[in-house]
Amino acid sequence: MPPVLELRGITKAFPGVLANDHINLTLEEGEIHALLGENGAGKTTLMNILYGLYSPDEGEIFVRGRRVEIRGPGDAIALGIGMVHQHFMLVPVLTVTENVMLGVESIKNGIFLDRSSAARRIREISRQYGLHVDPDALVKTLPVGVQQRVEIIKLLYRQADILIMDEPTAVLTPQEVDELFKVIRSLAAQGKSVIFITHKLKEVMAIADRITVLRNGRVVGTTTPSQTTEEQLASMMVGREVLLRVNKRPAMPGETVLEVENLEVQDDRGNPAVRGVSFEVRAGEVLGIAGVQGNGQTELVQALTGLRPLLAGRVRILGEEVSGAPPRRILEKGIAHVPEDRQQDGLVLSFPVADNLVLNTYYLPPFARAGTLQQEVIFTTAEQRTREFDVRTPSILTPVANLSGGNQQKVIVAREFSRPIRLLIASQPTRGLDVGSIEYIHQRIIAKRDEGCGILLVSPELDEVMSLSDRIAVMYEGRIMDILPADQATREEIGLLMAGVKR
Amino acid sequence: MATSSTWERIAARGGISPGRARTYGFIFLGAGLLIYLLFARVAAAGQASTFVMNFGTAGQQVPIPDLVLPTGPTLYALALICAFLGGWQLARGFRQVNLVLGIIAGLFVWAFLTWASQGRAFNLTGMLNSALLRAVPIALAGLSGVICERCAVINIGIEGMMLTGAFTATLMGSLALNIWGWPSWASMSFGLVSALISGALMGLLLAVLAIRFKVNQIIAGTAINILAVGITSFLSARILAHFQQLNSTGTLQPVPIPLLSRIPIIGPVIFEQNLLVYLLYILLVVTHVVLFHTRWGLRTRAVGEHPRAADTLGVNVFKVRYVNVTIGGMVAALGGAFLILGSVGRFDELMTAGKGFIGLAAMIFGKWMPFGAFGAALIFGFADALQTKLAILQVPIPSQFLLMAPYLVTIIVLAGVVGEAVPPAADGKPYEKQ
Amino acid sequence: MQEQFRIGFVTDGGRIDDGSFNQYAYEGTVRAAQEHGLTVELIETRSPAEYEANIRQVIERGCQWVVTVGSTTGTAVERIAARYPKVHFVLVDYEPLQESRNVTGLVFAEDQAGFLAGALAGLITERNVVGFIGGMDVPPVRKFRLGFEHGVAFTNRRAKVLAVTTNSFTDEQKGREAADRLAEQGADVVFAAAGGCGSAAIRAAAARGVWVIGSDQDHWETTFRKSKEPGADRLLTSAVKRVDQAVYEALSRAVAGKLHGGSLRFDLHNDGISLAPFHAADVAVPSEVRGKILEIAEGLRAGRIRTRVGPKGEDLERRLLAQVTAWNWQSAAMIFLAIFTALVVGAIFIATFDPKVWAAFGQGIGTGLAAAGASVVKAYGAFFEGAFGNPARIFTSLQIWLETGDSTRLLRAIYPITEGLRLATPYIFAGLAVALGFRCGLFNIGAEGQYFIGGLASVYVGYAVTGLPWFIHLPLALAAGILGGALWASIAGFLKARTGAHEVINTIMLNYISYRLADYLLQVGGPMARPGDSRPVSPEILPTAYLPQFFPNDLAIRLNTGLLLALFAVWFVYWLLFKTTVGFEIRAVGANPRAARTAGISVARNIVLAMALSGGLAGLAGAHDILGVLHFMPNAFFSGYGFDSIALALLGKSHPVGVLLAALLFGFLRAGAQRMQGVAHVPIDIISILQALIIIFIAAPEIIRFIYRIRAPKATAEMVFTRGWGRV
Repeated sequence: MPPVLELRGITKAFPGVLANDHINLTLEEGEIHALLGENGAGKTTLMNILYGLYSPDEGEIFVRGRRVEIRGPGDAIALGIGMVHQHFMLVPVLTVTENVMLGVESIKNGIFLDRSSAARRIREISRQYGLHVDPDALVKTLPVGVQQRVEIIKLLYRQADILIMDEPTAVLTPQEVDELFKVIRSLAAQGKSVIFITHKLKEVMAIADRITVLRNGRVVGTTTPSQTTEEQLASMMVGREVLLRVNKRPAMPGETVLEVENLEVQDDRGNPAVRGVSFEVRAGEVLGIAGVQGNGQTELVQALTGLRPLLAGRVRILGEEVSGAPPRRILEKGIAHVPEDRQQDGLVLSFPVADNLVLNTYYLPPFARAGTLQQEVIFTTAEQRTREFDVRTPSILTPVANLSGGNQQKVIVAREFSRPIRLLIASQPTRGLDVGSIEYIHQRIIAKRDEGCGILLVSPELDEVMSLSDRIAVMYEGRIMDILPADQATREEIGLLMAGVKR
Repeated sequence: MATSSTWERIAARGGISPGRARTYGFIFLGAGLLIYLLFARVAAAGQASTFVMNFGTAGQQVPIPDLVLPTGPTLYALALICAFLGGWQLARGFRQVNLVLGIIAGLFVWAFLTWASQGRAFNLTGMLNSALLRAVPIALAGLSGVICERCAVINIGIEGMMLTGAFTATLMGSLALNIWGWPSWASMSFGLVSALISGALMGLLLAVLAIRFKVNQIIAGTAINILAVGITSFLSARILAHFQQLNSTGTLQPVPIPLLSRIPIIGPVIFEQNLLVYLLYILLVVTHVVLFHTRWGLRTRAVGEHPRAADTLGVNVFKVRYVNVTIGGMVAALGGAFLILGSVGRFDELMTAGKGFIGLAAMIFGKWMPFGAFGAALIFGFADALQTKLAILQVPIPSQFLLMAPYLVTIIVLAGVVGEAVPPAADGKPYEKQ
Repeated sequence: MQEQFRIGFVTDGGRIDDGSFNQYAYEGTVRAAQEHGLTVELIETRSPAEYEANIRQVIERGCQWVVTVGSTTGTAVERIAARYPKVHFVLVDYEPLQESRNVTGLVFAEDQAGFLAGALAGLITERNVVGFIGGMDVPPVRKFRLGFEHGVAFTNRRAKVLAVTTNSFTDEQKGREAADRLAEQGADVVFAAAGGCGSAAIRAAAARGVWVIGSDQDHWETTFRKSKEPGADRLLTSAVKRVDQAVYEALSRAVAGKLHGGSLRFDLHNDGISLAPFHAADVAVPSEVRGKILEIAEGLRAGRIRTRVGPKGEDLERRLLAQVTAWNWQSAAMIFLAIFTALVVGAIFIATFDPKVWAAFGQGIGTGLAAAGASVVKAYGAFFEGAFGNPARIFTSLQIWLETGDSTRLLRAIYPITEGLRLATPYIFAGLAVALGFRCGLFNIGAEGQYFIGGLASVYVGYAVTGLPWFIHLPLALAAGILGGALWASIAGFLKARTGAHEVINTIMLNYISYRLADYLLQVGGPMARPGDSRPVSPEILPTAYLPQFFPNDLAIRLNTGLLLALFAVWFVYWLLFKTTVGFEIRAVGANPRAARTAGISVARNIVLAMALSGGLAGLAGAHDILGVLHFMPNAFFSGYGFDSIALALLGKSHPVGVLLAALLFGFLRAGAQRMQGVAHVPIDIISILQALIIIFIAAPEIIRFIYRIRAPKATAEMVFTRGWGRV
């Protein structure tokens, strides 16, 4: 019997990058096939080709032994291919039913939407696969874990039997991951074939029947969990030996640099986002904030950096009250901020590298005198900083938009780290970066800590928080569930706290 | 726990922060104070304000008595009610604070009318009828905005599309009527259909610029406005100025709907209008039903909120946008045609005078809902009608200031006094297929 | 007495015997120490994280001078230097910031070293192909490369230089690959400036029998370990930076108390750079080649020969050329084609709606076409004459003026041109207004209303304030115009910043309100009406508030000094946007308000400010028309500036100079259109049609590319003009 899906020699080039280079891949019926690779290895590009979002430059696709052309998502759906995207493809203001039926609407009386029959089928699917969800709920009111179930239901509703899951665990707690794995296994047991895309080694070992590793757009090898180890996979993925742990000395905490007391913050819609949070960060230590994304971390950081008004509570930096101070005053107190979304909040993409390197110091001497920019100084400094922080750019006058994600992040790090700072607030500092950049940024953060700078690290990547932090605070629904010393905390314990369970 | 009490307090005030709640309180108190200072204090003693409630067919056939109010006491009572509501807001807080704000605004207008009509008779029903008539082009402009923006294309060219529609309706309607000698109803229909075609073309132009060429939508809309101003003024100077018979279409007369038009007050206001007004009613219902209860509507809303998601489910984002924007252009042109056929019967350069933009404001105020936009348009229409009536009442306010009223109302509405409006999430963003 | 001086030496992460900068800098330090009897404290930095601690350590051990290699550690040193003002730092290969007094950077003329190497390579090559391998595109490497290229060209016009960048100073594999590639492409001399990566490259090249030239140090000593490594006989020479000499020189100056902050430059003149001896290649270099190289070195030293490389590695020769080519020719062509296409469409319009043409078509197609052509020629002929005058008339009147000195006829003849400039003046202001708004992400569609309010304010000051001399009255009236427009526009700015209400609708509403306001103020018997006049106009302003005319003896010519003011405004807006912190903020807010806010920039303040500045400029347009042209305010002088200025800003790509050019175009366009209306009876509204078409063609260049079959250029960063309805 031919494989359910076969890719032969798939090649796709983007300006300047060969994203996929003659990739071959087969998927058997009922198989869970993990596609492993670091960010930028070409996994998502490959899957977008399969889903008809990109067209390949070369190569052939066979579904159940038949050669097919996939020109758009419509073709893919017709072939029984479904995809759960890394960023959910759900319309927040519509209900679950409306989201699921979109594109394959059932109709009554000739023109009107038949919501009730669709809801009935959703309930059936929910029961069959253990995917509990209320069909009438608005998607925006659902927690991410449930939103993911909606995404899976969407595929099953369309009777897809080749399921592509792009980094599905990124937004889940460890317990939710376990639950998802159960669902995936039951799907496979019922004859569905699953392509599971990830860069997390543990997950691959736990779920996959077969593993294909991608690096720089090429297939490095295919193996099975029983034939390999995490270390081997890591070096296949990165192409060299990888330090899986960050080397650091024990922290030597000094004075308190940041003190937060009973902080309450609203989100954009006026709902409570941070509810009565208190903690402190001391010089020379890393306080990591773990938690599933969307549990108030974003609003907490925005409140601390003056970007969001406080509803109640106090924030003190170096003993001085800064509650409600504007961002500039807070930055000038020696706070560095590496924002969560580097393209939206960290950089002005159309500005050259040089200008982005002085985005928060342009008005200070030596960059400005009497209100006029000292361009020579800005350029010389930029030359130095790009060298010092190893920013790979054709020139300091290149717009940041033209840099790779890793180099964009380095621009932010170069800007924030080369100011005299006492506290660093880093939100997801390595999001979407390759291993080399991650290592580099981790080293820089620890070096800053050892210089005596206080660090507040916010990251949904549990591994990152656990390897960098000296103390770990876990956030759930706007509250800090607990603060644990990093050397005593276990994954399981933190996982339970992330899910709101307190022992 | 201290935490929960903060949230409870906010929840009790309809989700509004304490500072904002207090501001509301002061606004209510201020309204009361203004009624006292501006109107009640200066009202002559013993005067009465008469509101005439009869108008049109119903007014002749089922007359109801006029509403006669003693000017002074009414004004004092209104001031007191406002003050009381303000006090209540400061002390306890309303849950439905925006509703109360609307009531306050209504009371203020009532006070103003009472003062303006002291010692005179003021035909309230007649004014409401004219308010609705003036609201129609604004509502059609707003509806055009809703249709376009629900699929995330900002249409700032509505003004130009209206102008084009008005010009085409005039030219073609007059041509059929005065040159070809068609009967009035046929030539008007011909004018109307021509206007719709011209609107569809303008909508298509916007769609091509915004969707195919990914031009910044506000710039594309502005270009359409300039183009429409240029073409209509050019042709008006070249053609209409030389051939007067091409600039006279006649107007539609009100057609009272049997029975319904006899309902006191409501009948003459709503059901004694011309056919185009009824067409608006139908369009509102149809748009609402299509948007929220059909496949096309679901896809339109999905494309407006998250086009990528719709695309991944096989929805043709571009098709949805092309069709909606073209229809939006037609609706805008209908608004322009209404200015001619339903109102004045001849074309003047720049005659839309910002109604397209006010329509956009109505759309925002109406939260991108068809009936919401209509409701907002009624407020603008009311402000517009008010200024003409006040001129008749000889209120001691320069007419220019009254003429500013619709524009000022627009600014105030846009400033979000009545809660923040959230546009469709993808509004204004061109969609890039990967 | 010099006994008490101690020198600290800290490596930058490399070892002290790295055969590179650390080693040579240390040798220079030791030489200076021995000569002057000083002691040296040495710390080898093992990991970058220790570096700063090491520096502090030598300072704490009492070192007054600290020597280190600064190419990657410069900023760290500067930071420490700020804390230890009494310690003096000497950094190899580093250009200090301006204000550091206790940091001396040692910089080298790599371009001269590269030039000599290139001159030699050009003389030695037989296949006329030479190669260059650079580590990264940083100034020293760039200077090596450009110097090398120019040096090759100096001695051998036919030789081709193949340059590759490895993007690494350490990756030996990449170096070998680069060398192999160059050898395969036929290079027979290879010059490498890429650190360890470069050493590997020249070893690999030498192994293939290619002549190699090293950089920084004498590679005979390092890479080839005095011929112990294979291929040493293929090492021609090395372009040496005498780091030891430079450090020695700097420390000697320090001992003598003559070492200041800033940078010390080392070049051929002070033996800071040189070519290394030929060593084993000695026999292969003919004596006339040696003579030529010595001659060139002498020429460079004396300044007779220049490397044509700037201090930061910019190619001085090509810079001018680059500036000309970097100017986006295609973009300029697109603009030209957009205007041309709009004129063509306009012509079609004119012909189509000319009743005479209709009549002619009634007599047959041929007659019709002829009439259409005639109609267009007549219209555009009048148009041209209206814009630029009648050339023949200008010529004859110029002769009269030259012969008799009578300028009357000349002034009459050039009247259309002056009128074009006069009409362009307010366009410049209004176009700048919209362009400045665009830069802040604001779409100021209300230039019209701001123009009105500016006009009202200046006319009021012009007639109501009396008894002032002109040099106070005129500026005051201008200021009133600016202020009026600025305040009017900042209403929309404030609402946008405070409530997120979109400025497009608000500025339009403010336009209508301003018409009504003017209506009220100027109506007969109104607050600003001219007493006793039956027209709704304001009183005449006093002559002390007039903008002076250019040609006071012909009052028909309305061109006035407002034009100079407009040119000043162009410069001012350019300076403000691109040279000041205010402009930086405005542009940052325009390009990405969220990032600007995160970086501590107040988005709200900049929105209000940009809107006010924009309104001020629009108000100035109104003030110009009142104070320079009309001298009173008529009611309802519908100007159309609101829409025109958007076209101007788009056409000028929101750049002040672009706006200036666009405004001149529109000025002449309008002057021409006025005559076209008068002579050819084409309604002036044709202008609006042309403008709309130009906007569409500029905003959607694909249409033009489609019509003229032009290929699309490479994607460039897109300009943000304005956003949707939501909050920023």
